[in-house]
Amino acid sequence: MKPTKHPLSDLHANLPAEIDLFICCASFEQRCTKIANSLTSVTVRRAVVAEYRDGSMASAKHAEVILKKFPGAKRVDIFSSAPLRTLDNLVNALSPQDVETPRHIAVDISTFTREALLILLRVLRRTLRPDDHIHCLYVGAKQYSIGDSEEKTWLTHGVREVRSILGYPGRLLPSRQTHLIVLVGYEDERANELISSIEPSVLSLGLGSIDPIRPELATTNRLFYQKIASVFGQIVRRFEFSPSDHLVTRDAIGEQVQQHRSYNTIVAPMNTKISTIGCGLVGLDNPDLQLCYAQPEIYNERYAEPEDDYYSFELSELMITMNDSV
Amino acid sequence: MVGDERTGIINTNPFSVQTPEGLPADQATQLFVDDYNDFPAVQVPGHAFLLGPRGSGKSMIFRICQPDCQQRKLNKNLRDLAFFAVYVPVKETQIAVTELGRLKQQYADILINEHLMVTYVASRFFETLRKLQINDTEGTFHKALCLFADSHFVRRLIRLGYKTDINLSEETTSLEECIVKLSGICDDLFTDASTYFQKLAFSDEVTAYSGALCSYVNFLLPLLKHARSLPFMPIDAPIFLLIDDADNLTETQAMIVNTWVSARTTSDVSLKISTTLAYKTYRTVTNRTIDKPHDYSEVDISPVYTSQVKTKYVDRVRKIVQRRLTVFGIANVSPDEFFPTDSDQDARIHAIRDRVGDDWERGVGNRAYRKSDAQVRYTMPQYMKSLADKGASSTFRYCGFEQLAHISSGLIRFFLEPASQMYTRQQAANPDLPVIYISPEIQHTVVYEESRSLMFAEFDKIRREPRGIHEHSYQVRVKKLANLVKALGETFREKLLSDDSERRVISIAFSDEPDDEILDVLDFGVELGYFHMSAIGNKDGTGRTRMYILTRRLAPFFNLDPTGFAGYLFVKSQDIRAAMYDSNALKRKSRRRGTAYFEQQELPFFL
Repeated sequence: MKPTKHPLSDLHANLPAEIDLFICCASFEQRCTKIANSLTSVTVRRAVVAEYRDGSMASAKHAEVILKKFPGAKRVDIFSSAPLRTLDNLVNALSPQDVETPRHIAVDISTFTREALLILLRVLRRTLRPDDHIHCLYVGAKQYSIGDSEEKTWLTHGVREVRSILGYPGRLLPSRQTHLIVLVGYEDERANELISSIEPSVLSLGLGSIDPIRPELATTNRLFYQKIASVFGQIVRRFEFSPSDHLVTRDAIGEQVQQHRSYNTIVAPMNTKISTIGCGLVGLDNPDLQLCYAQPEIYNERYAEPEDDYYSFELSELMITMNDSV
Repeated sequence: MVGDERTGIINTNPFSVQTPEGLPADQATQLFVDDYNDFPAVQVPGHAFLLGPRGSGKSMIFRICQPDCQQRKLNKNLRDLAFFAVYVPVKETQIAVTELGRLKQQYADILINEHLMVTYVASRFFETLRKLQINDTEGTFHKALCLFADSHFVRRLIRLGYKTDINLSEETTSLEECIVKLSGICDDLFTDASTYFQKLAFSDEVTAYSGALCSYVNFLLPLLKHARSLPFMPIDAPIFLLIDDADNLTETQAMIVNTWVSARTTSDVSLKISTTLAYKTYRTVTNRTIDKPHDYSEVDISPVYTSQVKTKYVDRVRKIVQRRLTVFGIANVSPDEFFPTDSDQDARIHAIRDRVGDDWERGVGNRAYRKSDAQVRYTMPQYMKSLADKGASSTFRYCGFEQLAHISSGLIRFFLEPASQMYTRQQAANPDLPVIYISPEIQHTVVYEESRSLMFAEFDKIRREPRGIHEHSYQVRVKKLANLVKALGETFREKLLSDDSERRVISIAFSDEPDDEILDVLDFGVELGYFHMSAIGNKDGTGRTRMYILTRRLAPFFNLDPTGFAGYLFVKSQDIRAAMYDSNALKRKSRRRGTAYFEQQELPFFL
């Protein structure tokens, strides 16, 4: 289903009156409390609050804010440096016997790292029933790198590690060359490091120019795209995707994969969480394809200022292929 | 964006990053600047580790070692080559996928990992053969390879648990087809194992692995030994496995490679392993260490950026840039013409140079041994001081080939990446004109932006993710590094603007023994690229002491002269510790006691 945008004050209007399970993530960003705080007229039967245990103190503070809202919520430790522990804890928290066959699940995808979000997607596909409904909720950024001018915008610095995302290792054949697909966001250094470490033979650079979340940031996004493209010019192929529509993104990536079928393909989501869901859908449907993640050394404390609107969409596409899950 | 809007293919840029692996042999040999003759260990039998930071040219050396480049470079037939090199890139997400973490500290960890690695290498071997497009008009090579495959390769695999009834003699009709089949078998062996551990990631229990299990001793080594005698292979030549970026191997995988190194098979197979200093371990799977020169030799290609090799580095960059310009059709333009200096700035600097020379002749100001020494020492500092006095420091332009080469701080990657951006901007500025030079303004803008970006925009706004210990200590560590970098950058700037006899300083050495806290922060700075580390004779002349060189990439941010490298500050640990906690500590001290406080402890000779 195509995401639609609404004011946060209308959150209840786009969700069922009763949510069986609400999943969200407490991070260092204030954005993580926006959806939880807006779920005023919706009955939430059960909540799972993931919390980064190896992150900023602000994560714990935000977790407390969310837990106050959902007193019986299950707190799940997740780790930006330890994906296997994240996976195990999410599997335990969302195991089928623990979940009373929820019918409506709402996931605030805004502040999971892209890696954790994709792991969550994989776990959900394993644990949910075919007739479940997943409602994804996303609060975008009004402004990134708060207080900095356009040319000084920065979100992260340094890359500690580039790794495949758990659940999406791909089937990469040693004899083949690599085709890397990168969905460019606002992190040119992080993208450069990732591309340099993978050393692809073909690089599909995605520009999020289709229905951007903040059209006024299009120039900034293009600037970052150009900075990366100018470094890797000769192997670059450009394509366009949508930061606000996971299905458009899924199809755009699928097209790139098809164009280079004789290569090992690796996808690096580096744009919005909605487009990351699009990457996840491609990965779930294509076991040959690998998804990868560049873990940054440093985040900008003033990463993003939350919008007053949110995006909502039902992720029915996850259910369509869930019987194929590993 | 410069490019073909229809296809999305961006036009050629002589400085864009090209993976050596993807370069055709003719282009690779054209672009390669052969100044690595100091490193015979790479080209003679014997295991060797090739050390150097990322971007220092290791992969290019390996590219040139491969048989297609060797044939072209030496104008020889494959049969006449001295070695047959197989390129084995270790990409971070190919062999070391995250799911493998499930096997950590279990017995199967080593077995599965070794299986993955040997089948990966075997596949790369056949892929190398395929790419050579060996001429086999008589069909004799095909026959020989089939014989080898059916009677050795496949039989061995069946003994190791691989289920197949393949018969290459019957099922293939050409050499290439046979090679592709063999490569495909290795790919299958690799993916069988990877499919197994993918399932492990989501399983509570470790289930039994039922596929073939190959090791170096029971599979790869016999394969390569037999392959050496094939009629199309170089005569009596060893096979070199060029394991590139081995720091991307997991610790278990590094232990496995070290075990291969310890096997001493160099008459048949030599391992050439490129890595940064971050190679995870030198232990084998039996927990013994491999040692040099007993087990391997070591080649450090890191350009130690001292004044002696500085010129050599700039010359090397010049050659690399010249070749790129030529290959990309920008003929008859030298690197210095392509990256011109600012002529107005040059004129002003030249005037100061003349004045410094006149002063020297009249015996005015600081003395130097020769007039030319005085001009080298004081021209740029005086020019930069004159700008500072007018409040016009920001008008200094970092441009000109030499300046840019110095700013790249000894790593060619840090020249080429900004140059690539400059090229794109120049092209965008004049879309209808071919790019035959980069304007000084564009050069300056790009290197300044890079410098500012390296300085984390504003260091104190950052949040660093911890590595498994309490956040607070990491925040403090980052803050200490931020303070220290800022303190040193500003101190070097003050020194540059001072009246001291030596003003062009960008390094520190300790006059006493720094403690673990200081070393931890400095090493962290080296890891993140803020410092280079070297060693110099200590103050007493009784041994050596660590020296830390601030990366010249920060020169534009701190308004330093990147070509200046004449002096070191001998510093006390207490001063550096104070700077880690307060970025203004050094500045206060130098203002209180004068910048000569540091100069007095300066080394009396230069490396």
